[in-house]
Amino acid sequence: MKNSSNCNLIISGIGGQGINSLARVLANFFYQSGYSCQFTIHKGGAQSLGSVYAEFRISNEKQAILGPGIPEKQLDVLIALEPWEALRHIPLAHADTIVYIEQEAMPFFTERRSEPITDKELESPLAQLQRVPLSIHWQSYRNTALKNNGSIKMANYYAGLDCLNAIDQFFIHTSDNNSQSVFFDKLFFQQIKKARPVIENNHDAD
Amino acid sequence: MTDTRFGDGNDAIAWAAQDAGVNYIAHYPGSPVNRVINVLEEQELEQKYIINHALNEHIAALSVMGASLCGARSLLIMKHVGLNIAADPLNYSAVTQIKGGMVIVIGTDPGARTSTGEEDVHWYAPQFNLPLLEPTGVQGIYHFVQQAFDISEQIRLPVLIFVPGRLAYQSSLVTRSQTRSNMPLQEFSFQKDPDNLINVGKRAVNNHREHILRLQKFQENSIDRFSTHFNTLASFGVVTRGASYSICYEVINSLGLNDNIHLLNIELTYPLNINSVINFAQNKQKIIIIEDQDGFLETMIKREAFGLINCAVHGKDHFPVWGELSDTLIRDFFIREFNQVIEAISNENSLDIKINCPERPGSFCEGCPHRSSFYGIDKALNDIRQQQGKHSPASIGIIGGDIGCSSLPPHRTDWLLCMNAGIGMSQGIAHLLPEQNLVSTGGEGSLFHGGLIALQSAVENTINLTHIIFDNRSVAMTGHQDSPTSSDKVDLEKLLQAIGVDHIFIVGAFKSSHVTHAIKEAQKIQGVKVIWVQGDCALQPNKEALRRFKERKLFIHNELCDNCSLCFDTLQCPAIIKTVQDTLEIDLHRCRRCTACLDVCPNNAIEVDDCHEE
Repeated sequence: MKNSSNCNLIISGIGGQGINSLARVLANFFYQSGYSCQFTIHKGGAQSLGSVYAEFRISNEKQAILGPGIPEKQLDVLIALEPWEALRHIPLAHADTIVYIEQEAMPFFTERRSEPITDKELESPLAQLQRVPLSIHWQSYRNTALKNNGSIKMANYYAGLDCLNAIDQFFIHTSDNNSQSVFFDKLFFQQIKKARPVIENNHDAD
Repeated sequence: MTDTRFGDGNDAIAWAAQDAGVNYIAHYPGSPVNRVINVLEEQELEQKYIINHALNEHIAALSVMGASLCGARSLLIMKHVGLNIAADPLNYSAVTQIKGGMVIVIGTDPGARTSTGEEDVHWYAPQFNLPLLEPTGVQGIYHFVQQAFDISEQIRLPVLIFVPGRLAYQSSLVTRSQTRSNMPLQEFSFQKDPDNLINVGKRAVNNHREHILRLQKFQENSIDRFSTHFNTLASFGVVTRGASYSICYEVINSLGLNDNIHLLNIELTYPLNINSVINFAQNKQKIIIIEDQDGFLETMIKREAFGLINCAVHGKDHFPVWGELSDTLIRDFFIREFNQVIEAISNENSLDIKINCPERPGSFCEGCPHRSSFYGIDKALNDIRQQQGKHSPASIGIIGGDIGCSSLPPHRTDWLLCMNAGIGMSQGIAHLLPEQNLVSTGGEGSLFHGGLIALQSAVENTINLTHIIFDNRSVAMTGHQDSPTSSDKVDLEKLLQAIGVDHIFIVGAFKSSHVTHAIKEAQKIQGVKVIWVQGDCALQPNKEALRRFKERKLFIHNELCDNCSLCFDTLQCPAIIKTVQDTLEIDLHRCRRCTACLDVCPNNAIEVDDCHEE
């Protein structure tokens, strides 16, 4: 993987998917794991259903002076909870970018009056992403969360676990993945009070 | 004892004010500094400061001036466009010789990420003649706000601090250090001071002179409000400020130009201590000033250093005055400038990816009262048009739009410009074109900000205007601060009657047919009419809304549905979804049980199952 002291990470999705709360958990995770990090949450003016993304700049140098945004072609890790929101940031990627994407697309609510977003003139995000010369890890965060935790709201938890994997890959660590995820779990459930743990009987999932 | 934790620019402003012993805070909510007050409120009782949730920036500024004159450390917070409203009193803030430190934090928005415009408010600093500090990072925001209270008390002038959106919303570790307890309230008093406070005639001229002399002295003494980086001997100089600093630093570093460039970051951008720039320029052949927006720093340097610097000074001839300054723009500039020095940049790791991805600007939330209100407005205007026998699209009615959640996508109004533009611009159109099918709109926050005066002005001028107040009992867009209708302190109906509004229609937002009916009735009456549309913000549910959510379930009976699609295409509730069989279904994960869809369905195909409904 890239030999660099800085890793640039984007977590993207839609308002209401828990990007903001996940970003705060990850910031503490990275800090307590010995990295310096800064992040910015971009959510625009809308309270919900708009594009949201958290832009992380993680470094293993203590006093890194980095701009607030990720420079072009320097995105190292992209974790997307929705494929359109992955596509939006993919131009920032380089040939070694690590990419995890939820495969289920969400509608563009504001477009209902005009042409639907899935119209033939606009190619689906999955088709566009499949042409990108990157090895994409296609995920089902929503379904996994619904099945395991009984709520799609927990999709951000599974995206968070992929962030840990990706960052570990980037910095070529040989750390114990299990102890990392235990630590992440601790922070996640401490900081997000509404988070639901894994349910024992998956038949209860609504 | 130090305390280090993650915080964004908003947190840093609040923590610094607390640690500086702030006594009095006034604000008007606005992004990107919308969350400062929420952080301050969490400690309001413990810290014993007073918060004025002012109804506009003008009164916020004046109240802070009053508190400061009593000796209280005072903080004023607003967004950049709010400074236009506060400009009148702030022009006089300096002559009063304030006593307690007065700090004015302004959230700016290059790139207009959370605003209707990216107006550059730097020019207010020389207009007010107040010092302006510009931090470069989140920790810097903390230090500058703390220091600004001391500076303000030393020179008896308010101090401005500009925090751009990308720093206001950036999070990093913030170390809180020195703390100063706030003074007990009994120690404050107002001292009569006619020489400074009766500011008229010769006194006004003298106070102006005293103000300028104090500012000049501060300017001369501010010899260390800058930092330099990289090679002091380099003949190429870069001057920057604020959020542009870290981008410049990173680009220069990543291009390996550390030996070729000397970088100067200016913290006090007004008044500029020009000696720092003159010394910096001594061995330079060329200086480029890199900053976003209009080129304020460039103008100040060229003004102050005219005839004192021999090298070429550039700036906005290389960078745009619009949008945020990006890494790419700065990188491209240096690559052009140093093409002989920079080693060939390898492209082997880069990808050329073309995408087609539409903007996803967001929408009204599920259960938002504005969704059904606009459905009702659209229907009313269309019905009136039909009744008038007007069928061309050009004859569709006009909806005057305001700032706030009601202005969010899908942008149902005809303009989105500034506070009270709905009620204001509509008056001009209605005055000029009395037969025009038109309604003006605005939230209750805007109404109390300046809309009441606008409404009274319409009454005084006998303008034929129908104004719709969207009352969701919250300043929702900026983080759900209270509005006057959040409590029972004001009787809005009596208030409207008192300013001469004779026709007031009160309707529930989730019954769009009632909104439609009220507009059609109002349009039959001459004069000023108000339609007060009530419906709480979906993100601030009251007890009844929570009960509905828990106990109600809504279903679409497909056998009754004739696919008219009004609920899906026109109401556009995100909780109504299309199944793979092309039928409609209510997604109960999303549905807030507001039942706005029931009123829209002409076939009674939507059923609400409420076992506790009486």
